[in-house]
Amino acid sequence: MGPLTILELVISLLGGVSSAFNKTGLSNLATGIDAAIEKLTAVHAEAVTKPELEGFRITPQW
Amino acid sequence: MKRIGMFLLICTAGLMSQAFSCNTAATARDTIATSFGYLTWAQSNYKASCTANPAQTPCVLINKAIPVNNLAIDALEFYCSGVAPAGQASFASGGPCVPVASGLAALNAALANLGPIVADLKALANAPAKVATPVIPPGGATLEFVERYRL
Repeated sequence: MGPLTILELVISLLGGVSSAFNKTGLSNLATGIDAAIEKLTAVHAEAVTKPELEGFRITPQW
Repeated sequence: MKRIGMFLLICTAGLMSQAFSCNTAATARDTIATSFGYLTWAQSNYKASCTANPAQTPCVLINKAIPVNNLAIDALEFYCSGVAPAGQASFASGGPCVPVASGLAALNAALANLGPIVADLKALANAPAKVATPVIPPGGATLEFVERYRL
């Protein structure tokens, strides 16, 4: 596994905060944080990379 | 308590800015992917016809769209070419997109140019296939004639 990106670090930290809220009975806050984690994870999964973009280049055929 | 509130506000602002930057790049990438999809379809669909006669309208449209598509890729690559955090690969070496604020205007302009082209290609893809115009036989259209051409 490569080095953690800022986003991965934030997701991981939020996971810890959510777990702490769950333990202290603040489940509403924990649920909200879990939803945020889900959204951030989706954003992270769709990260743009140069090799992917290069695959979208087109050359004329006629 | 005030300090905690301020800390949370700063964290949220940081998170939102990171998420929006990712969204800008991802949205741009999705637009380019759509353009790529229509262009590859059009190239393959019109290859035989356009090789024979490149002056036809769809052939000109396709060749006009190619540099616009590639320019949008250049603009997005520039937008993503910010300085990578220590220990991470740069965008050029396969690392994550690190947004450059000064590249946003050029990216938006490139995407704005790509929009109408994608719309034209979409229209090309959705246009009904050309069929020979039916010539009504002498004596009028028979039921068989009407059925064949679905008049």
